[in-house]
Amino acid sequence: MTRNELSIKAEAIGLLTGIDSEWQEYLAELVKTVDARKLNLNWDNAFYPLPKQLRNPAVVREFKDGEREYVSSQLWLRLNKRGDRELLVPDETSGVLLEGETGKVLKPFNGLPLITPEDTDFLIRIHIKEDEDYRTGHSIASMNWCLYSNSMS
Amino acid sequence: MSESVQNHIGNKRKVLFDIRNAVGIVSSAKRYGPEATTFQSLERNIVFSLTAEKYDKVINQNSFVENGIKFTGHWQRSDRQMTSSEIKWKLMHIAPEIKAYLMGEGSPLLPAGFGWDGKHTNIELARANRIKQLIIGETRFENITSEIIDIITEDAFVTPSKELNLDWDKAIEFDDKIYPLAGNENSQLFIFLQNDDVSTRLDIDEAEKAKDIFSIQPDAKYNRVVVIVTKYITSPNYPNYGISLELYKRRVKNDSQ
Repeated sequence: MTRNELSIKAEAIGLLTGIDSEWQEYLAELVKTVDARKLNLNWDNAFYPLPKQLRNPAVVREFKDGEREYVSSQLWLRLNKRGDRELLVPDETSGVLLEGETGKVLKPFNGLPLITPEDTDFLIRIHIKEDEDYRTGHSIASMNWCLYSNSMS
Repeated sequence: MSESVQNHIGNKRKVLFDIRNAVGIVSSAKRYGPEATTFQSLERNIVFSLTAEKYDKVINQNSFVENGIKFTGHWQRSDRQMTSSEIKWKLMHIAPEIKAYLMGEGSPLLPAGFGWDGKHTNIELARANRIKQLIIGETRFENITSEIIDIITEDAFVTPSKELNLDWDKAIEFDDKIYPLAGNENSQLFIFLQNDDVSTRLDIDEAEKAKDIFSIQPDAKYNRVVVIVTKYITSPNYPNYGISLELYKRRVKNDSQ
């Protein structure tokens, strides 16, 4: 059965409930604006197996006032059948740090991945990317969800 | 793989830009000699390119001349030449360092900060990532910090590719003991013991290491070992540099023999 956009988004927002409140607010706002087809929540057709290491390839702009703006990054939402939910944010495992004002490449990232916690039944890879609308010059955040399961469907 | 563009060739320079007028990522570099140049890939985020060469008195509505240099531009997505006014507009909005580069100033390599950090190309970064992955394995890792990874990858950047075997299929077989290569006075030795469940860094007893013949005997539960010696390549004119990276896998015993 094809699910409608509203039910997918409602489920996505439900899954975010209970994680760190700032992240919850930010991600829920993004869920509202993104195309629902990018929220892969097909529980009967999840990727298997779970990744054992959780990586975060990222591009970050750092401004002189210390403010950091993520051009792209990857987060992981961990779920289990007991209902536990946790947002995992690995260090930047690859990608680059850019000078915010100019876009100059300052240095590569080389952080270590997180290890998937034992008590994990599902993982949702959340990839967030800032794209620039070439007509208006404004940046638009887009998001992709990808579901992994520890059991084959 | 994306098409590659040479930034400096003869008396012509060309640079790829994204929508923010920022320089696209440098994919590789020839650092020395008369053909020294950086290369950029035509990645999806590339929106336009600017090319500069000496003014040859052949100009049209698709070129713009400034200080004896003729600029042309190309919109990548629509595959269209820029008009003179578009080129002029873009030249006002790209970084002054890149405009100077296009006009032939300085090194034939793109300046540090623009598309790269001036040291590491994308290929080198990809190789450093492969080495990191080789060290930490695909599952859990213990006693391995990002500082250790940094020490190793910094040396790995300057190691000739042919010196590095990153392929477990070409690993050296061992039965019992491993005799790590001796380094020099600048070297550090790192040993990672691995199986399908974990990669763990072995704490090395310095007194043991100082012996003439130093060996390790990995516990039977480990079937793979990564041995890395930093600053391995000795050089009379430069500080010692590069790494030695050896992969060992335990020989599978055939009980029928």
